Amino acid sequence: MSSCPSCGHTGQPIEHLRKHYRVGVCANCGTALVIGFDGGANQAATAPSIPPTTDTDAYQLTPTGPHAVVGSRGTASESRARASQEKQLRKILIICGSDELDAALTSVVSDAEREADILSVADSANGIEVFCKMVKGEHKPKLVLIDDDAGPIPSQDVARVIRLVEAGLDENRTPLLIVGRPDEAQAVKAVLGALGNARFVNKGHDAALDDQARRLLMLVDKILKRSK
Amino acid sequence: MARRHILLASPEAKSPGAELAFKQLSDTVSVMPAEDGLTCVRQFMELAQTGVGPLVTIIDYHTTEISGPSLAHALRSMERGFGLTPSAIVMRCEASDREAVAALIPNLGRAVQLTKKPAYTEEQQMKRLVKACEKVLVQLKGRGKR
Repeated sequence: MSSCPSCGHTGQPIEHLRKHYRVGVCANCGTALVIGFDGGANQAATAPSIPPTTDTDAYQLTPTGPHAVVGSRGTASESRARASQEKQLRKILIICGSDELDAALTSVVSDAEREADILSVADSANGIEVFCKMVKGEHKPKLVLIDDDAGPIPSQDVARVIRLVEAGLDENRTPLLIVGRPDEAQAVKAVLGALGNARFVNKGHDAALDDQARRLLMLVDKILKRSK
Repeated sequence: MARRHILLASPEAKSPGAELAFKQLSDTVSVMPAEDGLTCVRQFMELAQTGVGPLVTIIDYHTTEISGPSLAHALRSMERGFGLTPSAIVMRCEASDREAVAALIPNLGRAVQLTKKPAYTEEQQMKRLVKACEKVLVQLKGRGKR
């Protein structure tokens, strides 16, 4: 009788009967010692596969034993669940100073039953604060939409600060969409060109607010689709 | 004793005069010079990652890349976002911007205005700024010694 290569135990191996195989495992540590092809002869005998022993040490799992694979499968499904949960927590951050446009956006978003997908703030300073909190909480926004009328910090400066925060924390660049007046387009586009993954869109003052909001939401979806 | 920092956002931040003037300050406080707004935010992020923000932030009203008022608001937002203690802000300005800065200060909180004296040389301006910083540090009641 040969000894177990893992623990050196020299006792008789415990035999497990599978559908087509006979597996002999060490009674001390559970390491598989003998595997024999049975051609299905043991099919009827597979049901009582509990080892006929009262020695509880035989069930003690070892890191490299035959049961080690169970743990890794559990971890993978856990991480998939966590990733999906984080994906759900990621929102579109809207920094919108205009009450009218914000109301129109809210109405369009609620029509599309996507309230849970949107986080809206009315002020650029609050927008930066919320962005930092989201990044810190590991729920970085999917996209940041910045209206040029939103409070004390101009939209291009908000975009620059967001990029610096991301660079400081080694985060990927969040897609940015800046909504502004046509007369400031050139200046803002020059800044955005250097930032990357950022786009300027004219406010379209002639269009009705609902149409503007719908157009913005469509553009947001288009950008998100492309960034996937 | 942990070393604390003063962020200096000014076009003259890296001048030899500034370096010399700030050497007079406490040994436990070191100055991080930033010639423009973007560098200032970058340096703020470096400090934020250590979990301790700057003790004092000196901002010129006319910083380049990001203007002084925007920079001050952005830094306050980042402090709130990252849960850092608000730094004392010293907003430097020319006499012509005095009223605009006076209106801005109450919105920032824990901030003070320092109007440059038109007759002073750059060296004298820096010495005056260092004195103002010393006074601010005294008001912070030993936060620099933590």
